[in-house]
Amino acid sequence: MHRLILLLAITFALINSVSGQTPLNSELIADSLTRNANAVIRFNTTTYDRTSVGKYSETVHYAITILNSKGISEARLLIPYDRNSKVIRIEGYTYNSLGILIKKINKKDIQDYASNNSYTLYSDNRVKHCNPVSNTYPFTVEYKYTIEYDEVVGFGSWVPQKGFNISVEKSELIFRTPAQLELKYKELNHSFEFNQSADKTITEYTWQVNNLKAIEYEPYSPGYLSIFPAILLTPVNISYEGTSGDFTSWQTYGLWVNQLIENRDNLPDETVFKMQKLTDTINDIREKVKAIYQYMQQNTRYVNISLGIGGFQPIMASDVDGKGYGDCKALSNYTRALLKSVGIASYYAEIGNGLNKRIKYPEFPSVNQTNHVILCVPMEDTLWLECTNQNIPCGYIGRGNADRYALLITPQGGVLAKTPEYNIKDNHRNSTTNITLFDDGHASFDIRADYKNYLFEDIYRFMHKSGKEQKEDLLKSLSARGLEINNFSIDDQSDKNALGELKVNGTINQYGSKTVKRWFIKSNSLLQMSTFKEINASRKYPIYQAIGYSYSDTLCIHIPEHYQIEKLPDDISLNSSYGSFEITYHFENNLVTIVRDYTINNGEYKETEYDEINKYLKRLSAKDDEKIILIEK
Amino acid sequence: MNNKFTPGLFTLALIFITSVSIQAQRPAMKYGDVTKEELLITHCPIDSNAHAYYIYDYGKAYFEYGTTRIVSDRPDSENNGFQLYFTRQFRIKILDNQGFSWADVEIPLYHENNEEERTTGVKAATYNLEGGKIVRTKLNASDIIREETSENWMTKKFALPNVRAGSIIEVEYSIKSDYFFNLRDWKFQYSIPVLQSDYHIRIPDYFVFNATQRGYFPIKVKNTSQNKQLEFTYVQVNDGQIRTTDTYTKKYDYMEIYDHYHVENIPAFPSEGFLRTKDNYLTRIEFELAYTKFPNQTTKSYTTTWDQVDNKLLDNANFGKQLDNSGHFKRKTEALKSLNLGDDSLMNAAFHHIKKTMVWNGIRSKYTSFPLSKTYKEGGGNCSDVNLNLVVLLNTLGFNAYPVILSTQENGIIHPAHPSLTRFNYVIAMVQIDSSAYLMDATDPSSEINLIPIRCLNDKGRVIDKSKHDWINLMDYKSYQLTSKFDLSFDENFVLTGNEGMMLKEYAAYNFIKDFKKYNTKEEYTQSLEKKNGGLSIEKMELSDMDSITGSINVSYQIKIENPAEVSDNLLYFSPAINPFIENNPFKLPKRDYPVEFNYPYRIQQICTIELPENYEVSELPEATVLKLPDNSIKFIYQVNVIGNKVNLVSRFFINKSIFLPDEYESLKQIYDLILNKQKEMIVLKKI
Repeated sequence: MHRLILLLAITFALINSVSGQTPLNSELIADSLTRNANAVIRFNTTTYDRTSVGKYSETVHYAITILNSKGISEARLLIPYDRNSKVIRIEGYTYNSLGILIKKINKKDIQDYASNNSYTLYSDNRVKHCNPVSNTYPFTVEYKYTIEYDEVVGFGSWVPQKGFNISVEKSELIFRTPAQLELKYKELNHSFEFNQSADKTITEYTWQVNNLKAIEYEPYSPGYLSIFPAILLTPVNISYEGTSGDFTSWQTYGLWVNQLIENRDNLPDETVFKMQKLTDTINDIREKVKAIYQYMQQNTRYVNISLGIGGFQPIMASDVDGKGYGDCKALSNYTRALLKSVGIASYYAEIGNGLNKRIKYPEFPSVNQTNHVILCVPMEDTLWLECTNQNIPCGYIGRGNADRYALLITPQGGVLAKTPEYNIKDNHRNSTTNITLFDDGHASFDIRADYKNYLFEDIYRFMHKSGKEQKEDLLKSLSARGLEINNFSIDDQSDKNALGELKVNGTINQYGSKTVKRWFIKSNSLLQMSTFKEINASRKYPIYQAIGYSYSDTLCIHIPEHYQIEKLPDDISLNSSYGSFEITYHFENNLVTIVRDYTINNGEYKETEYDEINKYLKRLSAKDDEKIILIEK
Repeated sequence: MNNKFTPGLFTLALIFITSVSIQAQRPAMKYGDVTKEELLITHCPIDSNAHAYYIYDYGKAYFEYGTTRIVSDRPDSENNGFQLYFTRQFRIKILDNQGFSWADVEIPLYHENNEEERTTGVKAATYNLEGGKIVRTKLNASDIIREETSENWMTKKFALPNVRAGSIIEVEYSIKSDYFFNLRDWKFQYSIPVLQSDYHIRIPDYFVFNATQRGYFPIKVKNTSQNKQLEFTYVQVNDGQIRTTDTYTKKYDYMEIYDHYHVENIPAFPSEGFLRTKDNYLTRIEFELAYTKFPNQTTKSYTTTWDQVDNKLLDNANFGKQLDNSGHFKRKTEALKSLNLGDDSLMNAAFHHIKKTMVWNGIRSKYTSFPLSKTYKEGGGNCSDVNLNLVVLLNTLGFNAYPVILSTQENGIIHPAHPSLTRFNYVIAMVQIDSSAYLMDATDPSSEINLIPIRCLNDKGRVIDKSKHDWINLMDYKSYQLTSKFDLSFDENFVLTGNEGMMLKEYAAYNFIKDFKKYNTKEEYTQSLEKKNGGLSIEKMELSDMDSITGSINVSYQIKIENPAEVSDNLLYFSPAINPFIENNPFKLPKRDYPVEFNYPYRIQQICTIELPENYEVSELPEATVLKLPDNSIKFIYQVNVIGNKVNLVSRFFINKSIFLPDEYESLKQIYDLILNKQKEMIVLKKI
């Protein structure tokens, strides 16, 4: 069987390079596929061959035509591998626009280096890399390589379009597996041409797509797995670094993870004693957890060293205790151990963090839906702990973890549980700004603002920086020209909710703009609002507003004696499914008071709503720009 | 445009010199000798904003003779010559968790063929104060990870244990190197403050290194020397029936040069934009092997004078020797000559030929990777492969063409007083006709003669020639020139519509082409502009020929701007700066410690004619203004007139200088603010 596959593959490559025809001629690409495309995948055949519970190979053969300089990175070959896999063959060719072979890639063109992301000090991850170049566009590269794996834990997802602005002529996935080793799959965002065949020993699945048009990035889109055609793949029986598992359900998946964390929560007696001493005078369980969480925050730091099974297994709690560092797994497991030492039970919880990762398909247990670990402390109003951050308030898990499934690992297996969703009205900024205008055009200002829950993160970014850095950040983020800051403070006032407080005052060298008689004054706050101005009505994908939040901003402008109001904008109150907006303007005794209430609802918005939302946004943006006109008395 | 500053002079413009207090030099610190006082400190004594700081950074480099007992039948006792040792010990105070990354340590080590750098004696520990006692946590040797980073690099990595706010970490390691020319540079400045830094080097006078100091802060140097002796024992084994040995010794006297470099209280280097590379300003010392002179041997010269640098390159098989290799151009030369072109056109034809036929692989190097004929035939290579081919082609056509070696922007400026070959990382081509120089870089298809890629705009390059021995200025050849004309009118809904035409020259044209090439069609390009500017729609883009930008590029399109003005009762007001060239002040911070650098001069002009809506007349107009810095390095002219039913705005903006020193920063920031304010000024129209 194997030999046959190999033979077929070789023949295929030969046809391409020897037949004299030029199937990779870029002029053969349909116009519909070059529109908005930086590169076109001409063909891709990805073949998985699983040979046993713990072995498989992946052969990828593809050609991609690069249309312009923005697509140049797609010409690059990047083959990731690690200590459980090896790249056994790489072939590469470059072709000119007519599809005529101009270069065969040599062994010396291929580099091999360690590949760690910014937050990783060390991992086993490596890449084989090659970077062909061309001065003229279009040009085409063709690659073929095979990776052999000595472990099976997940097959990832197959996404024929590698990213935005890339179209596909033809792409297929072939998966062969021994009949007794089940493959689970899930098709997303496309109806693929699908075939399944089986003989006594081997089951073969094939999926194919043709003519996928380039997808353009649209702001506020849902994650890529909601947009791109994809197939999620997962094994049911796995074998990884001497462990084995069964991914039939999250419960059995959890049993495998439990195997990896079992007996890794022992602590030195000293530390146990320290924890008991730390908490024995505290009665409230929530306060006990807080004390221990803060101890952990003060005594550890995040360092990611990921070796082999260390990608899935936390280092021992006693090692974290001795070294004072660890990754998310290690620090969550350590916190679990600390809590256990004073009799508080907690669950190690796998979670998908961020926009593009989450347990989105609860009916599809697999290793690729999570990328992070937090801790769940069950109690009345359950506490969730993010253990990788030394400053975050106890119990606040942030936008990246909130409102989604986490998989709690219990000795009986995995249990799905939802993390808290923060209420729109509680994701709130409340601010009051006082501005005093002076005749020469300059102004003094004074801002007080509270940032709660999700919006806490807006101010948290600055909170633990040095004074100088905070001042620089404020100068860059406050929207006014010619800003000078006199005094400021940024404080963490978190209690049950995350809460940050900003106080800042200073001067603006020219507020609004003056003419000889008139003074045009901005009526919006110095604090920025996070929203977009317009929806492109021809966008293809829904708007995804991941989080909802609200602002209440009051702006008080004190105007000089000898000016009067020539124009005060009209009050407004607007509603749409996307959000609501209310502004009132008031003038009395040389004081203009503008009160703005503004809400953005989280949710997914479909095409039918764009018109309404656009009208809303246009009014809002025009209102935001509207000026108060003062005129000399 | 006059920016002929030299880094040497610039270094003397020490704005900080007063802040360097001359204290009594602290004694050398012993490894492990951390005090309670140091642990109790909560703020860096010289910078209350620091998250971490070097208490002490100590380096030592010295030469040692590998084997001095040489036994004739023992290959392992072969005469290996000198080896270079480097030891570093540093102590960092971590003040808060933003400084934790300083406790992750990486030691990169180079290896090639059989020669390698090896670490010995890596030691590290973290010190904390617990209950009033100093607690030391040592790094376990097993926690040191060895990463095969890439082909020639290996990295030793480790994270220090038990690091908290207030910890002190201490690290010590030695590196033994076979690369005796690779005397390590020493950095005295980092992105965190350094209280004390010392570098000691001991070099036998067999080796002579040039030392180059860089940066703003003075480095104290103490030079001494002492007599030393090297004693060799030679053991000659005689294999007869009876094995005998003859032993004799030989002594060599030499002088050991001992230099001690010392600094105190060096502030953190800030991260700021508008700097080509911070390398030009970081305080540090660099070494380059000048020559070696061993007993009974002639002097072997590496780099001592610039002329020698030139000659060395001319003798190099992958540089000068390649220039004689012109056979592969025989046919091309004949073809080009037969066109009977004038000098300029012929030079251009040769330049375009190389641009078209050779693709740069992105690698910067002064040395060719293969013989020129091979890379020409294969159609690509590194920048030396490409540009030396260009030099040879130009020479065979009868031009006086030379390679010009340079250091690209991110690689830092070449110090003119310190001859060095290794600091150059790039080569371009130059033709001299009479007294005019023409620079060319064929790696970039959008570049033109004397319009070299931005990476090359970095002070001066060195012309490599047997007799020339000269520098050539790399900057000031071309500027960024943009003239735009708007012809607009209000329609009945107060929407502005009309025509925008742009004439782009030199770097404006160059940048436009680079940007435009990212899109497949004009429509995709204009859509991208629309996306960036809400309320703007663009149609009917027209574009002049872009194959060559020696002249100019003309771009025009029809535009429509929604909501350009606000309307209230009987007033209509708008700011006429439709497409302002400065939209934000990039200089927001009150003060800057290092210069602001621009790549080229800017000449931007905008002429905007707006026809007024019917039944409106002008009530107020912005006043005409000229804003400029005293030396005219920045100039802004703004003028609005009414002619009939049209408002006519003319604005001009010039930047005439590429380097603004820190003491000019405030006025630079201010003028940007003033320009922005002026651009926001309103034209007020009144209903008739």
